[in-house]
Amino acid sequence: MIQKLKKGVKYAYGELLTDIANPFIIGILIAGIITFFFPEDLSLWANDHGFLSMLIMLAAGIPMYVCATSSTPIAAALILKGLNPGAALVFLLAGPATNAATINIIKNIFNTRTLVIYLSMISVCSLGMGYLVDWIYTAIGIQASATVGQAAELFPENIQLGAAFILAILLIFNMIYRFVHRTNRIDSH
Amino acid sequence: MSVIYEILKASWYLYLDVAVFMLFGFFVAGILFVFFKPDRIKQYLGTGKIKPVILSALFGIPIPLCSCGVVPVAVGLKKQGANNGAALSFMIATPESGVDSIAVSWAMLDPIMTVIRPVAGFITAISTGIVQNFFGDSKVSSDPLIENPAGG
Repeated sequence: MIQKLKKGVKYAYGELLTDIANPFIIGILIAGIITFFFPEDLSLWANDHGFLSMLIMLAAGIPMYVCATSSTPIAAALILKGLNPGAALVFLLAGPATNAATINIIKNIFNTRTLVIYLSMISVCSLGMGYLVDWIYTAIGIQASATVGQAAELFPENIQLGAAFILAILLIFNMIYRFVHRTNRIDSH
Repeated sequence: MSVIYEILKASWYLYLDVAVFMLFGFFVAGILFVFFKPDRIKQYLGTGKIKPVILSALFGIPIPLCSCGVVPVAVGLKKQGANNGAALSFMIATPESGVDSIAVSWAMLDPIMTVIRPVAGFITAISTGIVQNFFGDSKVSSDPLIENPAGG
């Protein structure tokens, strides 16, 4: 039991973190760039072009290689700028599920027909769910940009700083490990 | 220079918001992975055109693998005899949400989005899988391709 727990922790902060480290850091940086560069009030535009904004997010999400975790800060930053939550959800669904590489892989391990089903079903479902989410927010009468990111304020700053510090150490440790591992691999070839 | 500073500052605040939840999400993900090996899922799936699709989506939702990491597992499922719809459903449900991204969504988004993400991922996965099982080619593509899906 304890052994398994140890193994799980090792997997979580080792292998799994290594997989997510780079895309996560890039996701956070893109979110920072969005926060800085995007116009302060996207909502004026997004309210009038709800469906168009979903289509744009779909077109952006399908070829992009983002994982579920790293797409979250990007979506949060866009919602804070006033993007309709439906369009953000389209990105959160289409982004992680598909990318240029998996499209190719689906074609190879299944066939073109499956690829067509795969892409069209993901598009239709994402847009449908996006539409539903916009409807939910309107029905309840809340602005997504006002509720987003509130949960984090649950924790006092000390705990946030502590966690940020621990996570940073883990990330840096992972980078060093990966760097050493990579040079080893090159040597062995 | 101040542009870079401002961008990094914005990123830093986002990072600060999410760090606690990341640590927690990864912990749960690790535990989940050890007690529940993705490569053993096939034995729980059963047969039929709909049931295995739904079950593989249910398994896929909490498992935290990215869209490329899931490929070998999905290929493994296919090899063990899961039908195309089930494999496809797993390939969609797994990257679209995981315990780590649920924790991060709770921190950075809001309760509605946190709930709707896995639900929407689940719906997307099963509808795609079911459509595949009813309208796609039931023939399994030739083995050499399965052996080496990504070309190495």
